[in-house]
Amino acid sequence: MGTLQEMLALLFGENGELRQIIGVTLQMSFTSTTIAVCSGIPLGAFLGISDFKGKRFVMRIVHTLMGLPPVVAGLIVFFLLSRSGPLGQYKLLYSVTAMVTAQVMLIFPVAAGLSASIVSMRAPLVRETAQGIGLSPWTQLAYMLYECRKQLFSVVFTGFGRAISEVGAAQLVGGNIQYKTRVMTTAIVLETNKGNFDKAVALGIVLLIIAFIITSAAQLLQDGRPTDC
Amino acid sequence: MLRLDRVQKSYKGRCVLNIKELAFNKGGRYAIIGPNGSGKSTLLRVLAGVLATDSGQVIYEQGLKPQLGYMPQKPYAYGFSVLRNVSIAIKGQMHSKQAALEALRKVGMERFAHAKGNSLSGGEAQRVALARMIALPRPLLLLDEPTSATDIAGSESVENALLDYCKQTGCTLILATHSLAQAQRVAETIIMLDHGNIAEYGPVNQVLFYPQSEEGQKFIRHWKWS
Amino acid sequence: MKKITSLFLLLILVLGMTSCSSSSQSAASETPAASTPEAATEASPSEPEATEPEQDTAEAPENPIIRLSTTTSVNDSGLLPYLQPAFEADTGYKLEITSAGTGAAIEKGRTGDADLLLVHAKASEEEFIAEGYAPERIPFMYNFFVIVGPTDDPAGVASSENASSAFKAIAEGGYTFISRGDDSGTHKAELKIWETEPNPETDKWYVSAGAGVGACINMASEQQAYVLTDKATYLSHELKDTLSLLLEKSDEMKNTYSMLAVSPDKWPDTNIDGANAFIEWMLSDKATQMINEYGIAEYGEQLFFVE
Repeated sequence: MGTLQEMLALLFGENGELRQIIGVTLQMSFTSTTIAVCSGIPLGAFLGISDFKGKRFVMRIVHTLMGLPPVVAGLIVFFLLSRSGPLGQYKLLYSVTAMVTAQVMLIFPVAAGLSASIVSMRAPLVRETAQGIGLSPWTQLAYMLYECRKQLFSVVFTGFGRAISEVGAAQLVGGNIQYKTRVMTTAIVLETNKGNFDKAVALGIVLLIIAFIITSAAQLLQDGRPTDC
Repeated sequence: MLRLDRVQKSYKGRCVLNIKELAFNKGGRYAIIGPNGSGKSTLLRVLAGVLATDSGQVIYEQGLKPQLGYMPQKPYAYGFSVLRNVSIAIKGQMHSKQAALEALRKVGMERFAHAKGNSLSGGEAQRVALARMIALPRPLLLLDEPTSATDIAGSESVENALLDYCKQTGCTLILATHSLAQAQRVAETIIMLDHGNIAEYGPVNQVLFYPQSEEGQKFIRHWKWS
Repeated sequence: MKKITSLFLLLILVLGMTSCSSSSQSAASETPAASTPEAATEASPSEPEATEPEQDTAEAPENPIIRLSTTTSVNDSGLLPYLQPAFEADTGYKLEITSAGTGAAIEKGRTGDADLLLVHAKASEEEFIAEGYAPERIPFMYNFFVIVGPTDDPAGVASSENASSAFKAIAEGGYTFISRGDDSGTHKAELKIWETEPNPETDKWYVSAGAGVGACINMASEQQAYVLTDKATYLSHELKDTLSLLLEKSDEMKNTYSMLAVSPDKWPDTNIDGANAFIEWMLSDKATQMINEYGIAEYGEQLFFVE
């Protein structure tokens, strides 16, 4: 019960720190998801409808990248952005920008791979009809995105879920700096290390609730009309 | 206006098309018949350019390829309205909505104009696909069993619409069909395929009543008037 | 097949949950390093004597395993692994060392997950004693925090009289300062030095990192900032050459380490004999000498001092 009180106090009390942390978390997650899906979904859909010589090879690369461990993405971005790295002059390490970069690196392949799979299921049915009436490849892509819109939308939610629960890269390249790059996941790690288990659990519950809302929304979209895909 | 030159196509080790030469004249009406697996669909796909050949080539008259219309056996209808499904085939024309509606009327589908494309049955989807074909003048129509899911009455009205269209536009028509009666009604020339090779070729009544080859005779003897 | 797989998974889940709940009171998680040794000691106090490997000089005690909870800075300095073989050979006990931030390290004593604490946060230790979890604290060694920062030292820390005037110069000049921000011993010591505690929300030069020593040194190197750290960790850090050691041996930066044995009044099963044996050994002449010698060979100077 102490935890429940703690949670409510954190959320609605005088101390606005949790609200600030949630704010940074959402800002980071929205940004990375948007960038990753706006580039990943069209690319994935394009791969799904295309039929070219190296397609299998490209798809294999995409699927491998989907399994990139988050902390490795963090490591790569860390070295890119650190003072001694190629982009060090921009001093981007330990910022929300750095965190977004790492997350985009993670979510983009996921968005592309999932979209390609979704579209590939329907593509063979559509391809010959579309070619037969002379639709341009761009038009075909646009209509295909429309046809699979429900499932592709669920990819957005999948991406968002990944972003919001990511901790390894966020810690590495963000630095968990108070009021700047502290997000819910890194805050939970910190509070646990400090021994404030009640606070950590309260944070965890809030994060869980947010994550569940996202996943449920994705599920609802997935269970769309059965005639789709 | 269109011909094949030493075209070969294999699929999973099996030869599905093997045509030394085959030519189509402008304004002609051709029916491709043959038993299942004889290569009818494959031939149409190759002619339409949606399937690449292993060897040989398809030679088109200048400007023909981008303007032809091809309709697969199981045509796809997008999830938006039927009317829109047809009007997307009409490129860059001002009154495409009207032309689409007119085409739907010709195939007897104008009642479905505002229905969703994914709510159509197989036969309805085929007629919509046909509307796409005839919604604008085309030099060549390639149709793969366009009435396979339609009933007899429907088929006849579709055939009439096709013939009207051909007369008006002077287009070349090549269609695959499993109905010899339909071939007789619609076509002037028959091409019969057997295991990817041309077994029969000639004017419609000549082939149907006096098939020359062994395969031709076997096949045509077992047909059902439908 | 599906049924069997899901039953199997359920079984694993149930086993996992029961072993977790039996080893800690609260719903809290333990650091991953700790979880396997905790589960092992949960078995029973009487381990079979045959399993003691390093048994040439001493006889095996009844409960040979001592769960020692310490902080990341102590662990990162390498002192404990250095002392451990000698202790184990001399006494026949086996040390299971877990490290975490000061807060979590002390919390292990409260939850019964440790027999003995080795920490350096006097106020927190006294709180622990006041709550009855330990009878006393035994301070036995000390070292100094140092202020480390950019080589060009814009705040003039190197020429400051003491730590507080150095911090004052940093605050006045608005030079970036990396704080541990995690309630650790180092953090608490740092807070004491500031005349007016900086506010991470409004003082943009004050970076509250919420991270361990190593990560803070990374950040300081990256941003060419000032940071308070313990000397041992700094010397053993890979990036130490990107920064300079600017101020050391100021009184406010004395860091005292104490041992606390967890009281059997709170946790009857705690290995009080083992804890006391460790404390006794650490206060012995032999240990004193070893501690004083630590670091001289590798870094050229003494890292820990025994009073």
